[in-house]
Amino acid sequence: MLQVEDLMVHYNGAIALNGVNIKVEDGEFVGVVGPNGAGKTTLLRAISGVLTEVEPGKKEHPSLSGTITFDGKRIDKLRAWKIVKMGIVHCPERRRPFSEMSTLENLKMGAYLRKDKEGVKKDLKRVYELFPVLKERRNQMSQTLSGGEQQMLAIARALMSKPKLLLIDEPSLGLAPILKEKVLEIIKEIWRSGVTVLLVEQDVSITLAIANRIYILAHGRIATEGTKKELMKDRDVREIYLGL
Amino acid sequence: MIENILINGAILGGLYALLAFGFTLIYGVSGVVNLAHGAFFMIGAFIFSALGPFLLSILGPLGVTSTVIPLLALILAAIFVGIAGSIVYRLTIHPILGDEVAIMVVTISVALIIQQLVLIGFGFSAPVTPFVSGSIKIIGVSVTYMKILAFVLSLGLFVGLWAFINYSKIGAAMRAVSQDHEVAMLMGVNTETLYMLTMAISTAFATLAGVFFTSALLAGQAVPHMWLEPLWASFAIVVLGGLGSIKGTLVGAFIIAYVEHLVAAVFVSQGGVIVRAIPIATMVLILLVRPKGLFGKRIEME
Repeated sequence: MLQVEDLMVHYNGAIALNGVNIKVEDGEFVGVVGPNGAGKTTLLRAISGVLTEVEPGKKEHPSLSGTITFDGKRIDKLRAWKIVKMGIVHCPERRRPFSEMSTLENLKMGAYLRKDKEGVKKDLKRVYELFPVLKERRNQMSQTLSGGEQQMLAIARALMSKPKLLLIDEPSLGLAPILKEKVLEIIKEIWRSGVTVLLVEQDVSITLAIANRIYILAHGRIATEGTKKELMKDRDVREIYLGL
Repeated sequence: MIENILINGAILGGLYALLAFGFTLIYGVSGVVNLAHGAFFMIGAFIFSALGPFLLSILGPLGVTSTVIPLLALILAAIFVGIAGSIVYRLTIHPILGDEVAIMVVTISVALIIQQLVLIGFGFSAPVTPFVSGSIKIIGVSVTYMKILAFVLSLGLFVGLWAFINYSKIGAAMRAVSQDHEVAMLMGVNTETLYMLTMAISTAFATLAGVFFTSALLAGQAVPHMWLEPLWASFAIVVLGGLGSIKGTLVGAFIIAYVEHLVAAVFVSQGGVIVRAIPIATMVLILLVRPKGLFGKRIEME
C-alpha cells in the first residue's frame, strides 16, 4: 500500500532522514518507534506532503529525495491536499485542533474534501459513538477541551477525512496512563474497522503491544524492524533501542 | 458642528472599514502584510473611470440607462482588479511566503510599479464622478446621495464578507488556515488557491473602496499617487484593531474616522495637513495602552 524508498530529508544542510525504507501493507498496523529527534515526525510529514509545502513564516526549506509510493503511484512530488484526497490522512503531533473553532467545526474541517454529504453525516454519527464526549462538547471551542479530549478530537477529525491509511503522530504524548490506554484502544478499533495504520510513538511498550510490525528509527535511519517477537528475541535491540 | 462630525465621521468610518477589511483578511489568512493594498485601491478607481465611457459606448445604444452603467463598471473593475491581484500574488508573493521582510519589499515595489503603470496608461488624473446626484439633509447636515450610497454599500459588503467567512465552507477553510496553516493542509485545504482567492477578494474590496472614496469623499479625481494614504489608514486601522481581527477592523475604522473629523473640526485652519497624521498617531496612542491592539488575542507565537 505504502512504500518509502531511500528517503532522504535535509533541513538547511542538516540531515533529518538518511535513507529510510519502510513498507506498509494493506490492512496492517505498523509502528515506528525511536527517541526524540530520530526523524519520526519528519517521516510522517514527508509522507503527507506538508514537509515541502510553502507556508507563511516557514523559514526552512527541506529538500527531499527518494521515492514514496501509495497504491502504486508516486506521491513524493504531490501537493499535500492531493495526498489527502488519495486517502492518506495525517493526525499531527500535539493534536493541534483549530483552537478558535468549535468541536463540530473542527470535525467538519476533517471532511473538507468530501462531497458525499450522506457519508459525512454517517461518519459524524460514528465518530460521536466512538467518542461520546465529543458529542457533549460539540459546540464548545476546542481550546477549552482537556488534553485527552483534544487528542480524541484530533483522531476523530482525521477519521472524518475517510482515511485508507491513517498516520498518527505521538497520540499518547502528555496523556495520563488511563487516557493513553483508552486512546490506543480506540486506535485499535479504528484499525479493526479496516483502516491501515502507521503509528509513530516514543512510548515503546504501547507500540509493541498494539502494532503488527515495528520499525526502529534512530538518527534518521531504520535501525531494525520486525514483529514484537522478533525484536524481543534480539538482546541488543531490546537493550539499546527498546530499553526493556 | 457635532452633527457634522457625527454624520461625516460615520460615513468615513464605513468606507475605512471596507478599505481595511481586505488588508486584514489577506494578513489573517496568509500572513502577508500587503503594502500594495493602497495601489489596488488607486488602480481600481482608474479602471472604473476608464470602464464608464467604454461601457456607455457599447451599452448606451442598447438603451441601458446611465445609472446602471456605473454600477456595472464598479463590479467589472472589482472583478478585474481581483483577478489581477491574485495573479500578482501568485507570481510575486507566493514564492517568498516564508519571508516577511522580503514580502514587504516586494509589495511596496508592486505598489510603485502599479503607480508608474497607471501614470503611463491613464495619465495624471481621471474623473471618478458620483454615480448619483443630489443630497439630503440629515439632522441639519447636508449629505450627498453618493455618500449615503457609498456608506450603505460599504457596510453591506462588510457584513456580507463577514458572513461569508463565518458561515461558508471556504470561509471555514480561511479561518482554519489562519489558525494553523499546516493542519489546514492536512485536512486537504489547497492553501495556494485559497491564498489566491483571498487576495482576489482583498484587492476587489480595495477597488470598491477606491471608487467610493474618490467619488463620494475626494474631489472626484483619481490620481496615481493616491495609494499611500489609504495604505497608512488600513495599516493603522488593522494594527490598532488587533491584527487579523474583523471586529477590531470595524471598530478601528470608526475610531480613526471620528478622530480625524474631531481633529479637523478643532484645528480648522491647519486641519487638512494635520488630519493626514491622524491614523498613525491614533494607532501609536492605542498601542501604548494595548500593545496587541483592541481585539488582538495573541501576539504570534511559534
